[in-house]
This record gives sequence, structure tokens and C-alpha cells, in this order.
Amino acid sequence: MGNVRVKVNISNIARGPSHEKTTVYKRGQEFICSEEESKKLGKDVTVLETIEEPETNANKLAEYATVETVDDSKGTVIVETESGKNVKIKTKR
Amino acid sequence: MTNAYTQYSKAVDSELVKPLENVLIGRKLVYVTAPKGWGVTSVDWGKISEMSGGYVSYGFTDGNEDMIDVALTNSKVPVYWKDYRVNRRLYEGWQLNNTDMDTSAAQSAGYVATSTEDAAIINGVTKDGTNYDINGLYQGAGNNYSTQTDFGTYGNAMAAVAGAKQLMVDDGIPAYNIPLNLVLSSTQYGELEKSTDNGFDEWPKLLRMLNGGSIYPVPSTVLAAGTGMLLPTPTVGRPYVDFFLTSNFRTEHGVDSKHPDTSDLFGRVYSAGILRIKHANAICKLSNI
Repeated sequence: MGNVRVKVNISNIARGPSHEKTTVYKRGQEFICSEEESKKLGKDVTVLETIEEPETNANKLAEYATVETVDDSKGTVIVETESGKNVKIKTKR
Repeated sequence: MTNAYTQYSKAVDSELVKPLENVLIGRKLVYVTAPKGWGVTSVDWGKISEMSGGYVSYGFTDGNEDMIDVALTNSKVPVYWKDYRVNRRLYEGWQLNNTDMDTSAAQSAGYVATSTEDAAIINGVTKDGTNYDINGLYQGAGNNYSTQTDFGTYGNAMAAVAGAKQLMVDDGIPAYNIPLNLVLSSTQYGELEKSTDNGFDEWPKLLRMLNGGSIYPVPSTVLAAGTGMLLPTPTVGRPYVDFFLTSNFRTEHGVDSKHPDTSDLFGRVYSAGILRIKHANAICKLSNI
């Protein structure tokens, strides 16, 4: 799933990966989050636009192979070779 | 008009209402008005609007006055109900010998009707699972603490409640000084109950943070797993939210007129009321616990 830019509809939304790294967004403020998070937030936010997936090396490589999984945060792709073996490839940054 | 069925209904009511009130969570969370009457089908009420900031000066001047501080709202009052049947011979037995009446059907029906009312108060009423026709406390909350705080890890429950209180205080709700109730989906309630670290239980510390309020579990069918909310207790929360009750739980009974002497007794248990969230910022949902 891609990312989306959303606008806050309620008084406050506090979000972050942990309590120490929480950011508070007030009514009318915008932020970018995953599509999944925007669905969880429901009507507390309005989705303004979908952010196109960035053209990373991992995503480019994925176009040329049978891809099992892509972990773009680590820049890795797992591809299936002709012999049916799965190989994890780390792309150059 | 008083007839045998009305008498029976009254007898069932006396056995039904108290047990139902004990299992209802929704009505423990909000101030409930006195019943206004079954005929009330809609209600006009005021919603507190957000006002501009206050002023400080050495004298009074014009301009510190908001034209509208309440937004008028009209809500239709829904009915929560369930129908059931009572075996005719058991009913006749009750009438003849005053034997123990069978209230199991009425109680089961009452329980599912209360569950519907509970869901309407706590979460809201939805037909498609996405859009809510009536906002409950969770759907109508004005604050959302969505920081990832898994209650399965010690300390996260306290972090979430502290974060939620901060959001409420920043909105002018005195969350540090008033009793608050914490409502959790059953999964999170279970996680919190057993949360401990080196012999220190999280539960008592969290209770102290609620300033005298309580922690309530609700089924995951009412509030999805991984969610909860914090709100003022009914004693102090009346200005922010209440449940406008038009009819408390009651039953009615009748028979099929084609077989007036032998048909089963048809029963209905019902209540009616609508949740009024006057100031949404007094409720903070916890959406990622």
C-alpha cells in the first residue's frame, strides 16, 4: 500500500511510533501517513491525495524479476531465480 | 387499561430492569436523563462550539464576544428492542398458582436489546460498518491518541492515558482534576489486568491516574480490539455528554387474537434514547493500543 496526504478533521490527533516520539496534529493540519493508517483513522481525517511510490532501486529491480517481497525500508528485494530458489538482494542506495 | 398481560409485563419489568441495568456499561459512562416519554421522537439540543480565545486587559472593550457559542442540533430518537415468545402454559401456571414465572425469554431478549443500546452509546450505529448513522462516544470523540502503545507491554497503558489526558487538557478539559473512566476492548482489558513489571502492577497506578474513575471492559463486538477511550465520569461529564432517555427498559405482552386462549404470549422488550455529545473534545479515543 502507498502513502496518502491527509487533513485532520477533529480537535487533535496524537500519532507516532512511541510515546516519546508522539506528534500532535490539530484540526486542519495535514500529514503524510500510510494508506493503512488513514483507514484506521477513518473519518478523523480526510484523504487529500495519494502519494506516488518513490522510484527506488528496490522498486526498479522489482520490475525485472519475479518478486516475492520488497522491503523498501531496508532496500532489499527477495527474488525467485530460474532454479526456483529465493534470493534476497540488497540494492545500492 | 390494565389487564392480565399488563400485570404480567409489570411483573417481568420488576425482574428485568435491575439485572439489565447491572450489565449495561454504556449507561455507566454517561449521565442518563430521566425518561422523557415514549412519544418523544426527536430532540433539539445545543452543541458547544469552539470559541475564540479569551482577553486580558485593564478594562472591558468590545470584541470579546462570540456570536454563537452553541450550535443547535436535532436528533431523532432511536428505539432499541427485541421480540420474544413465552410458552402459554407457563404463563397460565403463573396466573393460576403464582408459580415462578419464566423470565428467561424476556431476559435473553432484554440482554440483546441492551447490547444494541450499549453499542449505540459506546461506539455508534452503523449499517455498513464504515459510515455511522449515529455517533457513539468512540465515533464522536474529538481527540484521538493514535500513537502505537500496545497494552501488552508494561508502561504503555500509562503512556496512552497520560497522552490522552494531555490532549484533553490542551482543549480546556480539566482532565488532571476530574475523575475519568477508561473504556477498553476486552483484549486490552485482559492485557492491562496482567501487566506487571518486577512485581509492580500497572493496574493500581493507572487507577490513580483516573482520579477516582474506573476501568470498564466492553466486548470486542462493540469496541474493536486495539481500541479504547477516556472520558469524564457521568458525575462530572454531564456538561459534555449525556444520554437523553425517552423510555427505560420495558416489556409488553399480547396474544394472537386467532387463538386467544391457547397461543403463546408474544413479548417485546424495548428502550429508547439518544446519546448527545455536546463537547466532543472531552472524549479521547485510544486507537492504536
